[in-house]
Formats: sequence, structure tokens, C-alpha cells
Amino acid sequence: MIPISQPQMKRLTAVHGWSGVILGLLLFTVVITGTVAVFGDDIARWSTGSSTQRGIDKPIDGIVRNLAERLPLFYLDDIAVWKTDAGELMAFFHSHAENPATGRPDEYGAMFRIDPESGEVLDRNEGFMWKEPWAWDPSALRHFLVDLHVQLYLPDPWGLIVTGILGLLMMAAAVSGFLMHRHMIRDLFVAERPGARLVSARDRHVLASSWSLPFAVILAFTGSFFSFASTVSFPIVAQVAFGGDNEAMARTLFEPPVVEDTRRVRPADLDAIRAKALDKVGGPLTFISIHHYGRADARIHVWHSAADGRLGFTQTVFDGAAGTFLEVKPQVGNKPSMGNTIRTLMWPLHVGDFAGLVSKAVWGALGATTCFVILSGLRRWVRRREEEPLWRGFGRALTVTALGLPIAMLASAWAFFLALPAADPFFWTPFGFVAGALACAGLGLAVRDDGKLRALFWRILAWACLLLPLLRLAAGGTSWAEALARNHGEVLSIDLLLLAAGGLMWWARDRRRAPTVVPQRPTMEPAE
Amino acid sequence: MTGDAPRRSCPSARRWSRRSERSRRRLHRRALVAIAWLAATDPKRRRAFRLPRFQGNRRPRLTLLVALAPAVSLLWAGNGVGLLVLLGTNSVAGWAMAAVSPVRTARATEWLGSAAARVGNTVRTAVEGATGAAGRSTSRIDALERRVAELEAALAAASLGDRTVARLSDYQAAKTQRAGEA
Repeated sequence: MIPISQPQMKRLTAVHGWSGVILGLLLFTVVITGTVAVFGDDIARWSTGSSTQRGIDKPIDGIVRNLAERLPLFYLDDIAVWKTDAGELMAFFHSHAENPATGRPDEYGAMFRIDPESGEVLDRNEGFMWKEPWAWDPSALRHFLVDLHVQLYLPDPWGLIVTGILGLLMMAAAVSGFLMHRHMIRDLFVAERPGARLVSARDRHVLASSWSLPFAVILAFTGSFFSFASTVSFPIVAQVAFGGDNEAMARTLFEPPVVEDTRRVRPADLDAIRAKALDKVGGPLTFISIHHYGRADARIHVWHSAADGRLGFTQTVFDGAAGTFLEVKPQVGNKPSMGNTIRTLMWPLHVGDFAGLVSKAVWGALGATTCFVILSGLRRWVRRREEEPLWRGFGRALTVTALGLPIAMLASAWAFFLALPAADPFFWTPFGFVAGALACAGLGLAVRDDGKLRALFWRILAWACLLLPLLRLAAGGTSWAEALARNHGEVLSIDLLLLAAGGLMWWARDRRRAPTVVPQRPTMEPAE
Repeated sequence: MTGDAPRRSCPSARRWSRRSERSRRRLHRRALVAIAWLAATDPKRRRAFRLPRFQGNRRPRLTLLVALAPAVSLLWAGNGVGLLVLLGTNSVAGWAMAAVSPVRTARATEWLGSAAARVGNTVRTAVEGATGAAGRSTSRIDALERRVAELEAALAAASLGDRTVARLSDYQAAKTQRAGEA
């Protein structure tokens, strides 16, 4: 227990409470979308009707060589090769040019969608392709949900700055809560006391926050790190240490130094490199990047995703001409360091993608716990001030956000499947979310009784979950028989999860009670 | 821990790894049981729900040691993946166990007990039907019913007083005779 004076406690309470009230609803939005985004890859496979792992496990040398022979040298400056969740191979032959839309240097080139079995080119697009997700992301639904979590669908860089600030706010709330709570160990097993009293609301909030505190700090810190990395941290480092030269910074931090040699040579066999990379480090190879393809100074970077006890991504580097293994490259800098170890841990600690579905499920559950902490804290705040109309209105906004956001996310999935056969899902998926959110806000204004509003939201959620698998099937999605025959686990399991969740919500809809009606003369209760 | 170094493994190392994995799982299960024990016997929790004070020896330090043992084992083995999964699982499971009130826990336990008994009865009946043991079971029930009737008669005799003592003596004699025959 840290000794805190009464004025300090008052200030901490103010920081904890007001920071939560001012930005708590936005923070809830980021955390709940993050909880869903943990399963982003699984959602992508479910929505595209496949269960293909993203590892590059088929020969690629012939495919890349054939395409490279037909392209001008400009496009061979950099080549990126990866596999999508739908099982298709992608190859992006590109160089750098100024993007007229942003006025900044960007990657311009030709992107090919390829059948990995036959090597047949299914599609070719040219331009600043990273700005065109329809060309490389098979699931507009996953793309939207992840984008909503990462930058709240706000324009770059404002979305990242907002989510970074929200991460800092979450850390501030966690630390101030830890300092405020004097009996954390003693209260670690005290469940919500009966009677729907003020102390019950406190128990609920304190219990969930005590158990999830370390992970809340980790998730908030890593989330802030990723949000601020490209928007604040790297520009500051570039300015301070490299005199504003971003290229010099990138060379020092991310690119191992290579002596320039522009002679044209026969490129190394990519399949042999793939085999060597697997032998050296193991694990699925998710991304291959080739610099200066066909030149004597070519370098090939192979990305290994977390597996076999590895927590983070690992990168191996090969000579692009001779095909020899050069090194296991640190993510930051060119030598192993403490900074690189911390940087490597950031990603797995934030997304939980390091031990397959088990770690994802644990991280999803931790995200759900954090959602519960935010909502229970805000409910407690409203409960203590519910005589005032302003705070009653805030309580209503809380109900609409807490139940409306899941409805809006389901609405985006509905819009995605409805648009899939004939329209552009990258336009209609966000549209569905906005329509769902507006409909929930409208219901919040129209239905005055809080209990009825909650019951209505739970019914909508239940039906939206129950009918979504049917809509997926009606939109031409993979049938259950086909999924079983082709071993598409995600298709079946997410459908069953939705049906189970819908059934549970329908069963529980009448068991939920509205919060106690505001008393005209409230009875006095102890604050703690 | 972050996997920068290439990994090699031989069959004996794999066998050791499998064995230690099994032992870690066992430790993990024990840790969850330890958390449940700490929750069930926690003095403040029991006070808050007006339950009687736990009478046995709670041994909180030892239980805490059991709860932390898998984390220490994983840390010792340098298994960062396992450690993170364990800490995350324990956080969520600990919250879930503590959040359920003792009243609900009792109700759930009762429901689970009766459900298990129902399932057990159904399975037993099905097995008896399949193996032809139903006849044996019926005769055993008949014997038990006869015994209950005898005991009831004895009880009634005792409550009627001296007049029925003779009848009770007859009953005792019959019982002794039956035991002799057996």
C-alpha cells in the first residue's frame, strides 16, 4: 500500500474519473474493436470462406522470375511477395515515386494476384498500390475492423494520434487506479455484493480492474507505442539524430549497409532460399522482400512469423545474387540489443498472436475484461451522480455506446456480405457500420425507457448474430459441408460461435434488468 | 526468448520437452485450483456474503506458492510464450472465479451435482438394460423395500409400547435366524 494524503487522493480520483469520463467512450470503442481485431486473420478467413495459412509454402521462384523478365528495370527495385488469407500469392514489383495525392514519396509499381498452384496471373494492377486495399486484402471486413481499431477511421495521421492519446489515457487510468486502491490484495476475491447498491458497482469495477491491471498497462503502452511510432517518435528521431533525413534514419535502423554494385547478375533461386530460411529459423514464412532484384548487390529479407516458441517475428537476410545466408537481422539496428528485444516483444504483447488460437483467445478475453472495466467504471461514475439530468443523459449515451457498438460492428459484417456478390465491399462495409451506429443512436433518442432500450438492443444483437451465418451462406459463402470437406475450421467455428452467442443473448434478454430508477429522495449509502 | 537464434532439437530433447510440457500443464491446473481455493476461503469475501468464517487451515502462503509455481517453472525454462499464456489465462480465470458470488457458485455446484447424478442414472439404466443386469437390480430393490418395511414395523412396535414388545422379539428372532441361514 502506497501512503497517499487526502488531497493527493482527491487529485488522483479527479484524474482517474474525469479522464475516463471525457474520453472513456472513445477508449471503449478502441478496446472493443481491438478485441475483435485480435481475431482479424480468422475473421478474414471466415469471410472469404477459407482456412489457408499465410505461410509461403509453394515454389515461387519460377513465378517471380517469369514476371520479372517481362517488367522494366524500374519495377525490380523492390519486390514484395506474400500469401493472402484467401490462399492467393501476391507479388508487388515496385520502386519509389512521389505520390501526387500526398506530395510524399511512396511505393509505385505493378501488383500481381497469382494462383500459387498453377502460377497463373489472376489480376494485375498498377499504381500506388498500398493505398488500394481492394487489390491486396481479400477481406474488406477485416480491413475495416482493424482500421477502426488502429485509427478510428480518421484520416492519417490524426487517427493514430488520437488512438495514441487514448493509450496514454488508459495507462494514466490504470496507474491512478492502482495508487487509489488501497486494499487491492484484500479485495482480490470480493465479488459484487448483492442489492445493486453503490458498493456493488464499486466491487464490480475494482475486481475486474485488479485482475486485469498488468495487462491493461501492457496493452495501453504497446498500443501507444505503435500509434506514436510513425507519427511522433520516428519523425522526432529523424529530426534530432539525422538532421531530418528520413532515408538516413531508415538505413541506420532498418537496412543493413550494402556496398552498391549495379552489375546485372542471375538472381538466386528463391525456393532454395526459402528452404534455407526454414532450416535456419523455422516457422511459417509470411513475407519475402527483395531489394535490387537481378543486381549483384541484391538482398533478400525473409520474415518468419511467431511459432515454435518464438514470441515475435524473426527476419533472415540472404545474398540475392549468391543465395547465401547472411544473418538473422534484428528488427531495429544491425546488432542484437536490448532496444531490439523490447521492440520485438511489442507486437506479440499487443496482438497476442504468438501461440495460435490459444494466445489469441487469451488476449481476446483480456480485451473483453478491459471493456468491462471501462464500462463498469463509467457506470459507477454515473451511478454516483444520477440525480443530475446531465449525468443521466451520459448514462444513456453509455448504454447506447456499450450495446450500439457491437450492433454497428455486426451491421458492417451484414453490409459486407450483402455487398459481396455485386457491389464494392470496401465502400459498403464502413457504410454498414455508420448506418448501424446511427440507427442505435436514433433508438437511443426514440425509446425513453432505459430498460426497454436495453432489451431492444439485446434482441437486435441476438438476431444479428443468429442470422449472420445464414446471410453468409445466402451470399454464396462456403457451405458447412464444403468447409468440413476442405478442413476450413474458421468457417464452421465462427458460424457456430455466432449462433451460440445469438442463442445466449436471446435466452438472457429478459433476465437482464434495467438499473434502478432514479429515486426522488435518494437513500444515503457509504461511498466505499 | 525472442527467437533470434536458430533452434535445433534432437529426439531426447523433444521427449524431455513433451514430459516437461505435461508436467507444466499439471502445474497449471493446480494453480487454477489454488486460485479457486483462495477465492472460496477468502475471509473478506465470506464476510461480504455473510458466510461463516472458514474453519479449516487456509494456508494462504502455501496456496499462493502453488498458484505461482508454473510461472516460476516457465521463467526458469525460458519459455516466454508459455509464461505469457499462463499469466493471461490466470488473470482471466481468476477474475471469472472471483466474480461469481458464493450464492451462484453454490447454485451452480448443486445444479452440476444433480445434472451429474441424472446423467449417471441414465447411463446406469442404459448399461443395465444392455447387459441384462436390470433383473438383478430389481431384485435388489425388492430386498431393500422389504427391509424398509421391516424397519418401519419395528419402529411402529417400539412406539406402541409393551404390548408389541413380543412382536419385536419375534422380529429379532427372525432376523437372527436369517443371519444364521446366510
